Amino acid sequence: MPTPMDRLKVVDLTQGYEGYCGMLLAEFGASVIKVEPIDGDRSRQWGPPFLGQDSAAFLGVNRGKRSIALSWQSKDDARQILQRIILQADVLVSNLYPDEAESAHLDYPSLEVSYPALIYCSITPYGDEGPNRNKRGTELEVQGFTAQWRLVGEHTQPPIRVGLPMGAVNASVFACQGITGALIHRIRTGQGQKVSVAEMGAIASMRTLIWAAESEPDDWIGHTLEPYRPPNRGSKTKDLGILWGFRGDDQGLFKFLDEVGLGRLKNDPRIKGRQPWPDDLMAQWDEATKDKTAQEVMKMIWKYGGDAVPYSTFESLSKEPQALVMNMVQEFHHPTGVAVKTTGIPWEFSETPAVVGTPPLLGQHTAEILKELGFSDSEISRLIKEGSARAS
Amino acid sequence: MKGPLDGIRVMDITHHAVGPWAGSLLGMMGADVIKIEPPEGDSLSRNPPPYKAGFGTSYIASNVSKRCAILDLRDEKARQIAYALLRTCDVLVENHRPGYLARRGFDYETASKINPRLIYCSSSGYGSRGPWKDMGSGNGNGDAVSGAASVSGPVGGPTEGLHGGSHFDLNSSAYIVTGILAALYSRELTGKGQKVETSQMQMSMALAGPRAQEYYVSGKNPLPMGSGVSNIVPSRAYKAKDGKYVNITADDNKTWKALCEAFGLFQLANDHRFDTNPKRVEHRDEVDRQIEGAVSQRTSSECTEALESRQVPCGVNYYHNELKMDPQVRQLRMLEQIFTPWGEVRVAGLPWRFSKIPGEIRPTRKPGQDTEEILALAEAIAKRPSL
Repeated sequence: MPTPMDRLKVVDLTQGYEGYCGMLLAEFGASVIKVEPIDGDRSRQWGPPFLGQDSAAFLGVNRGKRSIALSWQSKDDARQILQRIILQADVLVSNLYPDEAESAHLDYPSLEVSYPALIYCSITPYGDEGPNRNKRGTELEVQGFTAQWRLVGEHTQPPIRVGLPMGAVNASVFACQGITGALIHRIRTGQGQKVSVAEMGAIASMRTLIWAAESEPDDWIGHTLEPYRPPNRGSKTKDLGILWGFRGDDQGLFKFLDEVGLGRLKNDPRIKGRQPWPDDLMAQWDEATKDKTAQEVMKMIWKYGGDAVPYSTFESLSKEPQALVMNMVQEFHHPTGVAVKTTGIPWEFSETPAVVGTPPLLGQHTAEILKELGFSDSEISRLIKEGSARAS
Repeated sequence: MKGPLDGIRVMDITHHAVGPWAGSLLGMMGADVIKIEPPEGDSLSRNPPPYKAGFGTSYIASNVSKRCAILDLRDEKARQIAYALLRTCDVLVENHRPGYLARRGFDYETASKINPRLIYCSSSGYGSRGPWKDMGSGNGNGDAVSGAASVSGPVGGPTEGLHGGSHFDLNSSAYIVTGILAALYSRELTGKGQKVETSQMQMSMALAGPRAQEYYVSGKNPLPMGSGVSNIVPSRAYKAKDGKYVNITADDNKTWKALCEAFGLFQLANDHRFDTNPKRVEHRDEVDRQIEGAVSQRTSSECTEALESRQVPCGVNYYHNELKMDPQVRQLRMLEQIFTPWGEVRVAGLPWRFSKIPGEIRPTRKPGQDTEEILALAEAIAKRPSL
């Protein structure tokens, strides 16, 4: 079947979770060449857990790509190969800092000269312009910078992080859509350009509702304005917490409360309020549900027309019927031969489906790609022997 | 319209935050986004608070860069007007309950017959089939159900979801746009439209995917680790002499050595027990103890100066007002002031910067502010059967 991005060629120079952007493009059907330093993308080392030589972190954001390993940072012949790979591609995705890109002549102005149609996408922690464009930062620092720590944890405790690589993944999602927008523009005009995404900007843009709320509102009320709210853990059960509600359907709510053994609360107006309920009510909830599993309690809620979902673990989610029905638990065959489950693709395209790919071993496609560029077998052997390239 | 999607027209039949902000992102990229609202409006304008001149600020932020017409699609005449408009649209985006658009004659089958080149994107809470297909969703649901909430919390737990903001709603908006644009790009090559379906559950799971992969590889759920993380050491907040926390990460060996040198820990830099990330993870407590020792003897500024000079990722935690005043945020225009019918409102700036045709934020319009203009447009289209 055709895929959304057949025939598109991408060079992915990123290391780390920013590889997510290239993975989206690869699973949209683009041919993505991941150019790694000779010792590999540093995220291959971000474990345990590992599968063979590769961390789960690496596998989760590098499906569907081919890998060539080059000493492009230190050897001229390797850098020239990288240049040639870029010149035959439509898109370059990079998370090099501006100073790194400039010193390697891989910044946009350098490439635009010889290749004006190139779509060049830069993902950086703080942006590729401005006084702090070269400030080093990873997920933790970006969350600190964007005050993300204010939206999680308890204010009397040391600051914590959100345990997702949200800066990198959200920036990658915006980068992918920016690249696609730029490609659509290029089809009409022939014009390439640079698309820049800052991870702190990606996170900050998703605070737009909070910024608007703070703009001299009529009254300072609303949950977006509360300076502190306690952690969200849902309502307890014997196993997983649950998030539930009856959306104004009091009859359904009362029937559920009767069945779960909390019928005596029906007259308390606070049960219709925002959760979590006040402590005394939650204590009664905990007592009533301590021997009931999340599934049991949710079934009662669903029976009476309410909504309920669990606070999933990845383990519970891997078996969740709704997730399975929507094809969100998929599988790839790792090059070492092991079948590995993975998170599925969140869109269903009626004509051009996206397809889960396989993550590459380091340099798995070095020889293949060099051959495509016109190198002979003996030239390839020499490059590998001299340490300009590496094949797995 | 200034932006890469100049010339693209979007019919936006969305409500609340997830759908509308997706329409806004397309508008920020230069598309002509026409929001169609029923006479009763989008409930986000009424709830939740706060309000500005009586109108929900969340609505104002979620609906920038669009025109807005009021058309009751239950009414046959209005529907015909919308069908005429549809003929010139490239995209239709919606996020209503199953059946809502079908009852108004705007299901995919009908829409694609009128316009075979249409990209029709539907977003629901959990998907268009399965036991949860009719269930309502919300920001917190995405956080909980996706397993995202299972990896945040203090060391040893308990786990928790985000307790503020609307990250999972707007994350969904971003994923919706990415899917729409992939289909739009595909159409440039195939000439054909198609349906794109997604859901908040799926999009939240996608965001959590990189952590879920750890479970799938090891069979063990990754655990919350406070400011730390299970698979990279060091990457944590450490308390300095002045009581401030300094975030410090060394996620490869070169940076680890630089960190050690910055703190004068030369023996540590050469200690084989810590010379790879997996080894540092194994010896996490010892690594943390060494760094804690060094950081606690210095002020936060002394720490960041020493680390930054060696290009080690580090920083202190900002409060929201510090974020807003940061020169990087100002230069990149991460926050914009827009002048709306309800007054001056601050919203997020463009999440991408295009070097040739930047994209722009246009102030939110009142519901129905553009009805007359859209009716005239539809009339003109209806007069041209060749379209």
